[in-house]
Amino acid sequence: MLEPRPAPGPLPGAPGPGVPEPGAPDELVEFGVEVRSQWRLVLGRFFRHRLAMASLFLLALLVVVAFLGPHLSRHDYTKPGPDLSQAPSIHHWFGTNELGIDTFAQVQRGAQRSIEVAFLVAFLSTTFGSIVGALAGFYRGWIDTVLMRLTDLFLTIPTLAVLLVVAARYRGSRNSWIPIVLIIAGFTWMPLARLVRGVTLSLREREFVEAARAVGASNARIIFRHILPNSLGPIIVNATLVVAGAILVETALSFLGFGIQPPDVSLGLLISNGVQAANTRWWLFYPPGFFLLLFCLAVNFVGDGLRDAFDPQQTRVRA
Amino acid sequence: MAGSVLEVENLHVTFASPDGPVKAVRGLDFSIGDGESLGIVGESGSGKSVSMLAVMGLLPRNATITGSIRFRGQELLGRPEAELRKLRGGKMAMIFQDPMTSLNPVLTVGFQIAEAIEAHRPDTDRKGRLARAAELLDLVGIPNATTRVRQYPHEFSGGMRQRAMIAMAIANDPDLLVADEPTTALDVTIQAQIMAVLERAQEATGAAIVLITHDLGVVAGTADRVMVMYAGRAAETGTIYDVFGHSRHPYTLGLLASLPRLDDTGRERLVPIPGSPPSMVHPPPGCAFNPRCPYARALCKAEMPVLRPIEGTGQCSACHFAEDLNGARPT
Amino acid sequence: MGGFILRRLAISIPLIIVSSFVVFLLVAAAGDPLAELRGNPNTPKSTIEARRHQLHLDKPVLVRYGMWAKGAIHGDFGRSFVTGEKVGPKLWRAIGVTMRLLAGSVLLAVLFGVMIGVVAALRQYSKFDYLATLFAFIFFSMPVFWLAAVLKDVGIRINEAVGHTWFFTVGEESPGLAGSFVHVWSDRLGHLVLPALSLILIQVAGWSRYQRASMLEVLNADYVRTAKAKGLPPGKVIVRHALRNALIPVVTLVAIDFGLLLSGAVITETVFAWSGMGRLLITGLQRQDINVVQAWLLVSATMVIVFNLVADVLYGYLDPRIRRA
Repeated sequence: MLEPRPAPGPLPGAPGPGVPEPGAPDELVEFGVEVRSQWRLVLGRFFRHRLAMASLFLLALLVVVAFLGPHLSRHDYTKPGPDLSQAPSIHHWFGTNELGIDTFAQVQRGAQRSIEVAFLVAFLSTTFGSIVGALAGFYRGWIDTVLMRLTDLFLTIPTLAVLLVVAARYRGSRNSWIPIVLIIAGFTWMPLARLVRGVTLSLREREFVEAARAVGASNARIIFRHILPNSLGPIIVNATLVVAGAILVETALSFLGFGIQPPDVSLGLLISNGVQAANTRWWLFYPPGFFLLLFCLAVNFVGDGLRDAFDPQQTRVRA
Repeated sequence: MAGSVLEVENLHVTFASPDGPVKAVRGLDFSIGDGESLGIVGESGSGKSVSMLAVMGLLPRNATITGSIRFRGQELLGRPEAELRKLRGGKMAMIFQDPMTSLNPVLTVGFQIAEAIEAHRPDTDRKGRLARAAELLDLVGIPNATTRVRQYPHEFSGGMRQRAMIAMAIANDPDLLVADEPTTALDVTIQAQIMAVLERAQEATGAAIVLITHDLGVVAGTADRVMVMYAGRAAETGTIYDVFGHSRHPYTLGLLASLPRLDDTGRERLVPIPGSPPSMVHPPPGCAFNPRCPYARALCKAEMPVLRPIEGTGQCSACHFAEDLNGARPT
Repeated sequence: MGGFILRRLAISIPLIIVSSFVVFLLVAAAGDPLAELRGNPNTPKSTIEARRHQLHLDKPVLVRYGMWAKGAIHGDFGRSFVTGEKVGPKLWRAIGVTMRLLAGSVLLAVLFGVMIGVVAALRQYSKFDYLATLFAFIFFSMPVFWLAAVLKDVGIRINEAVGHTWFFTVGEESPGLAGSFVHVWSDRLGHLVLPALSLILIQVAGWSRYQRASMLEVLNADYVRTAKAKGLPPGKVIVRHALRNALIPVVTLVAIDFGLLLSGAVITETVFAWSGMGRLLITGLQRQDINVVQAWLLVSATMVIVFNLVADVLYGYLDPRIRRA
């Protein structure tokens, strides 16, 4: 009759009777995985996503160029010069317009303004939307009803039209970018709020919320310390996409004349000024457009990489 | 072999994965005869589902299958897909675990059963097929079959959907019926009903049944023979009386010991098997069970045991020390 | 099914009413048709007051809404503050023009979006899939106004190179267009090409991605495995089981995106100088022509609601589980 050896004891974390552990033998460590925090896992996945990393680099480059503009080129975007309507050259990298103003300087300034607006909109709408969404999902009740009806309502009216109507009031005003930021943020927080509401609804049923309550945590603490941090994944991904969306909206408004107003510059304004000249003086039209396209492309790739990092699925195409 | 429905020899199934090749099945041998019931028991990851999916030819493209699978003496591996399709759903049928998602929600139940008939008997006409579908629903115990035939899956309960799946599987009078955890997703009371339906289906068709499950109780109640699988290989095979009463493999012993028994005093602790199932990317050397086995010796790590018949019994076991284990219980 | 349609209809009507109220408030609050008069320091206060009274702007908002709504139900949207023309007929004409652009764009975008998405899902990770993904990302990030202008420029350059007008880049039809049905419509279709392309390229980008994801999800579904286990030929598995289910969510998406398409049409029409809803809205806003803007918003909201209604019904037809709702 074969005599069994004394039981080797359970692995740490494995269920089992309280047999004193003589120390886990090597054979039991089958997986050899070190404990990693969730954030490190996410970051790790992101860094391995080559396309997202490359796009992040490109994005940083574009932002740096836009913001360090005045220090990079020697020209001022407001000062007319002697060289009128010049094609790109060593002297003027993107040529000049009909007033002799350097186009590269203009594109830089326009990019800077458009990027500022986009990031600000993303920040404001994400913050506001997350809080409202979390409150709506957590407390339900009137906040929830109001939120849902409001979003339903504004889904029926084309967003651009609404923005145009409200922005029309600020045509011709100076510092137009401030109302533009507020207006765009004011109409883009709703989808995010719905998203956070959905996540909150599912999270509030989870055990850790019950546990927090059992320990006596207040509702506010539960929302801010437990629910919002766990919704951070979708929030961050969404915020990234809002940046791209916001810059497209702002430039569209500016293109139509209802966004950033002169003398301030925006990529949209530059493009609308350049449209007429597209055929004969292409350097006024194509560079701002390409900058905008590259920026949005980079942001979208980064957003996609983030989405993959937070929630890897087999069905996603990896670059 | 006369009367043999399925013979599997040295089956290996490997999946390509970003972490390396996953060896889900590592050398499996078994056979089933006409009208027999074989239960395949094992943990998740033991390879029990994968092996039968390989038999049916339903594995994804990144799976490499070697060995031999013979249905009624004809080799299935390497056959062109068009020929395999003639068998699938016809003479070989399979039902799956979750009845809630196994039926197409936008097509009526009757249509889906009729579809199975059409695929293998294209000469039948639509009305005839639908009538046959209603007959089958009746056979599996669904009341008001003629009305039900025109309904959609969401109008059926879970148990009823599983019955409909069984009806679909037996529509073409199969010789082999594979049931992959058919009751796992259902309530315990429904479980018994579904097992009864399976038995009735077997009577009606004379098919051999392969019942895949991790629930020893379900196997004990239904199957004639049982194969216990661990880490992609068979650990032990035999009749249920032999395997459950006189187990010849430490894994089987461990499984049985971890179950509560009716004749327990209520004071004993349940004894789970220590450790966790092995990684199928890097299975342990030698006998895959050796890290968790209370009887493991140096030989177990050095040499992989082969499934061999144990003298004096009808059982086969893949343990170096099978002869010594006659149904022993670890204390 | 009939009950389902009626229920959906019943929800739509109050929605239109509420939308009309919100629209009215919005425009009333944001727009100021007296801005020009106010801006001119020479205008005496009495003139401003008189005008204000004439335009009923001195009445409380609810009363004004009531007056406007009563007229709107009868199709009377008042008159333009700037030209005095009746708003209604102008609006319908503009809608007709824009509908041409939208109808063609939506149909083609759905067709190509679905095809590309399905093929990309079936040939996952293939070259086609990668190319489709790249295409989708590029056009998804593309500003529609720039794309429209680029296409216009490319069209002009090709015309110059060829010496012949292959691509129409201005307007929705040639001036003074008259003649047989075929002649008129082939001219209009020719003018549709570039603007529709601007909208289609961007929509296909988004829709193909969605369709691809939907198709992949369905391909991995249990019921597709069941279909294969029955021995069905791959064609039937893909079309009858996978595709049929994968198309359903796309219906909702197209409906949701209708508002987006309308916005895109506004921008595209501006670039190509069409006399459609785009020009109507933009000039209305530029001139603070409140009646025009209000009518525009109400009609477009109604169009979106109707479109969503149609999509809902279609969804109910495709997915039997919804019919009870």
